Amino acid sequence: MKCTKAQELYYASRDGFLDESGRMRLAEHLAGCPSCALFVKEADACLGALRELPELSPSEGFEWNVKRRIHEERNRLGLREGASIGATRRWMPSFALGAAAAAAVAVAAIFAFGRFGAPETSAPTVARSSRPSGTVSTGYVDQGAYLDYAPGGGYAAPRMVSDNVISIGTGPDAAEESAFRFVAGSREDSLMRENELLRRRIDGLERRMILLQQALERERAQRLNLSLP
Amino acid sequence: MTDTKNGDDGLNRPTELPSRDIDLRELTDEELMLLVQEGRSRAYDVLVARYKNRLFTYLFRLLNDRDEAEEFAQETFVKAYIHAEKYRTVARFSTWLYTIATNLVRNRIRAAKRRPAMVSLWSESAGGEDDGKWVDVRDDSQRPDDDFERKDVRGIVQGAIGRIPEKYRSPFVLREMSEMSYEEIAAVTGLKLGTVRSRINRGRAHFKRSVAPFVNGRDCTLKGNGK
Repeated sequence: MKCTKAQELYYASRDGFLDESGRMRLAEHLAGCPSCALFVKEADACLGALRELPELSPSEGFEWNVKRRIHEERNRLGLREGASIGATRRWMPSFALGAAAAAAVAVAAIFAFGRFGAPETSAPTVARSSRPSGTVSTGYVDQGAYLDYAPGGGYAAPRMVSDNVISIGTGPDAAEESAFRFVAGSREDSLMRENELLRRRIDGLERRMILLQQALERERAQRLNLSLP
Repeated sequence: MTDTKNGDDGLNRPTELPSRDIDLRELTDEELMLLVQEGRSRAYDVLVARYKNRLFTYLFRLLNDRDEAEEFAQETFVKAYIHAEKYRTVARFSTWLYTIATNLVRNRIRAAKRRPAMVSLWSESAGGEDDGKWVDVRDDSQRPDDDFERKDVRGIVQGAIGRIPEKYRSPFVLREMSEMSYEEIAAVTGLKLGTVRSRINRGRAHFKRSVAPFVNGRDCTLKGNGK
């Protein structure tokens, strides 16, 4: 037997594909071929060293990041909670019919009341989902925060489970399905929003300080005028 | 032949889905995926927890970079969830998951071959500090991880895996480390069985060539400060 064939047989033996006669032929060859015997010994040692490598773990936030990215990807694709692409394709025709009906009603209402402009001050707009009463659904508010509905119709305060993860609902179903619901995407989003709010507050305070300084200047000028002869 | 009238769509679905009371951790991967297809995302938590280490380890062995391995592992889980409807229980979930991961890595390696690693450097012009510009130069330096890994036996072995040509590396790692059968590897890589066998053996030969200089032939252990 040639050495290349013996090496093939060795690999087949490693993978458990060598029958009894093959094993005997290999053993015979190895007994009379020192280079192949060395090859087998080295290969055993080298491949055995792979077993020394431990199983590794990703970072602690791995699962959270997977959930966040699923949430973002689903938003990007316009998928419902808990839905994958196929499920949404099945769901799309009924959604399209519903959307068309809603659009028709909205057009009819506009013409009926003759009102095109939005009121000057409006409550935060919330996208209500049509879940049956008793379960609680999420809504999206103008300022970038989520609120959820209490079964009675009012807003229930959201309960934060962890950063950006909101627990919704009161029943066991809601707890079961709340794992993939997020307030608004990632932790970075949340920090950026917080940063923006603080920046606005600082801007407001700076404007107020300028107004107070101007008032102070006016007051000083008036007093100076009064004290002049 | 499938009978769509009776709801038999060829998916090999169990007659009833497990009730909500059952401990999800007791279910098989395939049962969990059926729940995911029904919209129960909590079932996917269990699958992620079950496979995150194995998948991350597999990707790290292929890529030799923790950050990249984690990025690809996350992307694999996201794709598997988003396309859960495409999963059929005739295939094992692990095979399907590894197929997604292997394809992602393959695409990344192809893209990297077309575009060498670049690093941005600030180049100041004669006009002064404000007149400079960012220029991209090729980054041929070793990653800090490389230096760290090379210091011990595990580093030698990991480095040797990294030096196996890409087309042999996946079948080799799937066989020697993930302990998949030839049929599963063929499903993951899309190769024929004969090609799988030859690529695994070529991968073994490459690996042996890199590691053999460190092998102590007498006791079949690696030389150096093995842990």
